[in-house]
Amino acid sequence: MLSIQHDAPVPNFEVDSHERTRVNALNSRIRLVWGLRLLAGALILGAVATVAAIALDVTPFVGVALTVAILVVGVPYTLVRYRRWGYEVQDDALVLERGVLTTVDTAVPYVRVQHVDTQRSPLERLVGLSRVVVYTAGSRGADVAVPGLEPERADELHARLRRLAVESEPEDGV
Amino acid sequence: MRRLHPLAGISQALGHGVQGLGVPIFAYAMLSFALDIPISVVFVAAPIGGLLGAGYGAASYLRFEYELSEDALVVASGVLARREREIPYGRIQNVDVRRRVLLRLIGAAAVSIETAGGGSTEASFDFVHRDEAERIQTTVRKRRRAAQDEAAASETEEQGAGESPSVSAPGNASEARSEALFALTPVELAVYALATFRPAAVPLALIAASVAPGAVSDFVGSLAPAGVPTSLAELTVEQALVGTVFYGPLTAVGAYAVSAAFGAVSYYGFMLVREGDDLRYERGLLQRYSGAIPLSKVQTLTVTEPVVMRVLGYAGLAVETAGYTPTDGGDGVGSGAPSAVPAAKAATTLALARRIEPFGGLDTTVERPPKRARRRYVVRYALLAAGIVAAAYAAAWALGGGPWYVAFLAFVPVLPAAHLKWANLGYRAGEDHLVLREGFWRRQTHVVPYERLQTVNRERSVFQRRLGLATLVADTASSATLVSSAPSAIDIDDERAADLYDTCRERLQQRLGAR
Repeated sequence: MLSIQHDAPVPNFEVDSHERTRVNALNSRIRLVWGLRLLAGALILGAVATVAAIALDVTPFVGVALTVAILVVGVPYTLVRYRRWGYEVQDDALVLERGVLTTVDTAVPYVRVQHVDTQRSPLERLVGLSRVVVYTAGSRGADVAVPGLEPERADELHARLRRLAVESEPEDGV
Repeated sequence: MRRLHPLAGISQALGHGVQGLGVPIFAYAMLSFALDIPISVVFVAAPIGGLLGAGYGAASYLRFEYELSEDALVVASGVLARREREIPYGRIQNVDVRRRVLLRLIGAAAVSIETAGGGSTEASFDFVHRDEAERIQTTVRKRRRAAQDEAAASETEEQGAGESPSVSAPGNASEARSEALFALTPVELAVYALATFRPAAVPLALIAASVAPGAVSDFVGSLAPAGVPTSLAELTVEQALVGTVFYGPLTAVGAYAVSAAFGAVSYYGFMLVREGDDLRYERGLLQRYSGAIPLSKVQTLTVTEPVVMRVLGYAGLAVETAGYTPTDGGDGVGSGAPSAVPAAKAATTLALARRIEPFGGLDTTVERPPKRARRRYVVRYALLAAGIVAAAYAAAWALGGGPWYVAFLAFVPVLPAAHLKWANLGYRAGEDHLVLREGFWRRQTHVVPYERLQTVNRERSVFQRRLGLATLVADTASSATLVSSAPSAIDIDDERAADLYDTCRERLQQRLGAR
């Protein structure tokens, strides 16, 4: 049986961005993960540009300028990205809100959850964070990941999602 | 245990025999440069090789056996290394039957068994007698149904309206009754072939055009005052213009003709039959394709109306299912979803959609997005036109002059195009399903039942937020969305999108709870 009461009031979740109730934020250390990734990308691109500039006999300052430009755009982007990121375990679905240029709200109903993973990349382990990945049969399945969780919190979310998925009567998933 | 068609044995023996014959000849041809081998060796070795090959072919025919056992399809194969494979009926998604021209002459067919896992064929019978192919198809279907019934019965939950399609008689659906639903008439075939463009035809036409350019360039040259150019640098503006004006359309017409011929050949004699819980189709002139669409796995119905079909009042219908879908004969049109109706009068198509669709009432009337959405397309197409002008200017500069300002004509279609794009968008939150429409050249109306939603997404880009618009993406497990994007309500009012987002979630829970 479904654990959800259908005659219960609709979850009071305000989706309007103007007065969006703050859902669970990510751990702020995720900014470090994203920031380091950004820095690595900017340095690599800068190095490539420098090499190309030397080869083409242009001032190697181009590479430095590129790195700086990427960081100037990327750092505020990362900060806004962190601020916009939120997730909530609601009655019927896991809800994610995220996105800078294009904001995306995604609802993943528990009945649709095929399985749940907890993943940690080397960088995430370095700063002590985990991510929970939720798989559905949908074509956007790989999209549904909650990054920036402390390991205990990730485990808790993982267990909770698994329980909710089992409770809400899994059938053939499609 | 059964064997394949006896002629399959002969064909395998012949095939391997020729290979066996070839090996010594090939080896001699390679080695005779280095070693001094008398030619007579070949005359001894080749027949031996041929006999060995033929023997291997015959053995592999004799050692290939299959059986439709009570609960699984059993295939035993292999001459030296033996392999025995059991495919439980419950796991079989589809039985494809193909009859190439030669096979049809001898009354045989090639059968392949597909399962959901992986993209490869699980077992193929190349080839069996036509009646045997039918028998495999019907038996698998019957036993699969029985397996599913058993699985369903073992669950305490009873099946609700959502799971058992409206077309199947619940309970005793295991006995497959067959009913013809649709047969394509020559007129409908012509409409389909002419209205649906296959992009795959473009390279074919380009190849054809490049193979026979002489006649065309002569023709172009006769029109241009300065004669045929020998290189790009000598190309005068007039020649370039004449070349594009004649050569371009000629290639386009050629591509269109190739595309239409391809469509006519691959959908010739299209038939749709309902058998128990499956839709089965058959089509093709040179090669007959036959495939099944399991109704219990239907995710989305898509009504396709290319612009030509709309003018004629025609429409096509595709059924998107989860997991494996039969390939659409490589014509690149189905994009993963097999056609249930290639083309028919719109009323006929919708009536048929209502008959086969397992999710209650079907209504494809939609509401357009707000008018302010149109502004986005005006800007988008104006930017495109500006790009064309810039490119023309750059080209004229590179070629040393030319009437680049002609490119300003690109701005002419901006407003009509923006209007047409907007006018062909639409959405409606029906009682049982979401209706989403999109596309001018090839308008598609997706009918997504709420209980098939996987995730619900509301997306707003910077530009959409400025205009208070949003896009709602209804993601299902349809395998067609792996190829193209998931059906969406594009640029609808933001508040409506927020409502729709909630409605979809509620209805999904209701529909699943009602089971």
